[in-house]
Amino acid sequence: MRRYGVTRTVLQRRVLVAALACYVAVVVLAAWRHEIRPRWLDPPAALARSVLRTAGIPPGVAVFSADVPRTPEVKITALCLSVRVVEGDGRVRQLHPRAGAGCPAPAPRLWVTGEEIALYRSATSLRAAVAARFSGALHASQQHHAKLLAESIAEHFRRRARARGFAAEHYTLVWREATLSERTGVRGERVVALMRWEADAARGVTLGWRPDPERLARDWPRLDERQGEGAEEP
Amino acid sequence: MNETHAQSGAGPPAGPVERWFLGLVPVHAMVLNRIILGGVLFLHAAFRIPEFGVLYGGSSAAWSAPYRDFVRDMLAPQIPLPLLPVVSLLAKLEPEPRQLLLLGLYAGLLVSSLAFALGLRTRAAGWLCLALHLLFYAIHPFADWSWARLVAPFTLYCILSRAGDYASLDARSRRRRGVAAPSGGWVAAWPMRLLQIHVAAMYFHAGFARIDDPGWLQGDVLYEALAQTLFSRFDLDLQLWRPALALLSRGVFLLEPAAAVLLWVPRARTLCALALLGMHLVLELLTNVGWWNYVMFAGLLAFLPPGWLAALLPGVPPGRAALGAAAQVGLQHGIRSQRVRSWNE
Repeated sequence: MRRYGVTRTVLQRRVLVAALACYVAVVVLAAWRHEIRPRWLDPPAALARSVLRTAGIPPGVAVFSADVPRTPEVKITALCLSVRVVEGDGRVRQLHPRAGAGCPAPAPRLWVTGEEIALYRSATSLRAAVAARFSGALHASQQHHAKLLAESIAEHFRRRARARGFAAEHYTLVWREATLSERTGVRGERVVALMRWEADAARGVTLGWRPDPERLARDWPRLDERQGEGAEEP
Repeated sequence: MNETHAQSGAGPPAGPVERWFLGLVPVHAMVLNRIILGGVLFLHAAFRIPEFGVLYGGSSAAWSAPYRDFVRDMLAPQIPLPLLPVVSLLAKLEPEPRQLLLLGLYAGLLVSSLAFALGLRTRAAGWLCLALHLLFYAIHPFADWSWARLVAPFTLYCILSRAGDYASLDARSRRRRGVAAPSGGWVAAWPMRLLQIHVAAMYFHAGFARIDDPGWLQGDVLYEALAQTLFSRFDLDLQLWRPALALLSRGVFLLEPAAAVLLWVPRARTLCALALLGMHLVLELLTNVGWWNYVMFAGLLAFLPPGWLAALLPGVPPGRAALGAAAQVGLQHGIRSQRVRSWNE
């Protein structure tokens, strides 16, 4: 009969306990938020975080701490991306959302598709990158990442159109938000951005924000601040 | 195995840390974790079958150069390092062979996650489904919320435990061959300890991430989350429900950091775990956040009294009576055996 169920020798037991204690220390240090962490623990905590990242292990998940936009006065209740394509013969067709799907999808909703999550995360990350750009918090590389995100969204719809047999030449994406006024309780809708791109991937994407990126930066002041350590989406 | 066996063995007496990690605990918590986490991985993959082509297929936008560059630059820290070159290799393939390969891998994910949940070749199935789940996460990290990463360490702890020896197809086939379960339902504590520590670390991390967040301080976060149709299951009259949502937000705000401590206090542990289970149940009823709440349900089971979990798995030893007897022996005779100590303390 094995003692403790796993090990036979004292040495094996001690090595296992030492390894477990090290792993636990790494998890706890990585989970320890910098706001409440003594400064002298910063270097080992950073090391612990990078060790866990190597293995893809998150120490924790702070749900609703990054992806829920905190906007004063007007709540954003839905994000809708609608895409139309112009085909070679000049015919305009609706690519997204599909007819009858509605945007936003009506409640009750028991399920959110992976495509919805991917588009939501791409669009909100793009918006956060642009907000950071105009609030002065932008790292130089973030402009490049905003461009990559816009191109990723365009590429997604290019491939969707191809899969559905659309002979698309031009694409137009209208990004709308459904809103709810905190003061009056009135529901509304506003256009946030317009994107245009061609069927040919090499031509890139043009992206115009409405009303303007400075206003965007004012409306979404928190999101770019929370892109740092430990910010997690649901 | 009896009390004497639990204390027998060569070598010097074990210290408290060694007893805590290597003592024996009832297997039920890890068996339930295996069933729930395996089920989550299987259902997640199964529900995604209609979207396979859009999200992961050979011609999906996940393979486009801008997206791969973005993932490499911004999301790489969320992906296990060994998977990055694998995804890079897949990205270099032509769409058709990539599609075929990915279809095979996705079928492997479905089969292995189901086998893991059912306990068929549990360890091998567990490793395979974990690797494949993370591979598909690495292909399209934006298609999932963070639960898809958190499930990985929890599943890993299950794989490392003896969770496949009970309430499983492996156990059934062993019984048919007349071979008894090797440990009578008492297994090494360390995989469950890692799970417990990670669950507590999760609340420690999440709870203190919010201490300076005005949304949480004002109790507005659930209201704001439910205002989003993506997260909200129902079209609620939010103004009407606002006080209740504020109360719930504040409850979460206080409970999560407190849980990091209370889950380790024997007298408060069960109550705290029940409160957290209730919190996740309410969140699951109200919000669409993927499989996150189910992952936490599984993790929190490791903090509930073993007798309760034994009642959920009636065929799995040690039964409730045996657990009660073991506890009573420990208390009546003052025996500080690893077995009694490890799940009482």
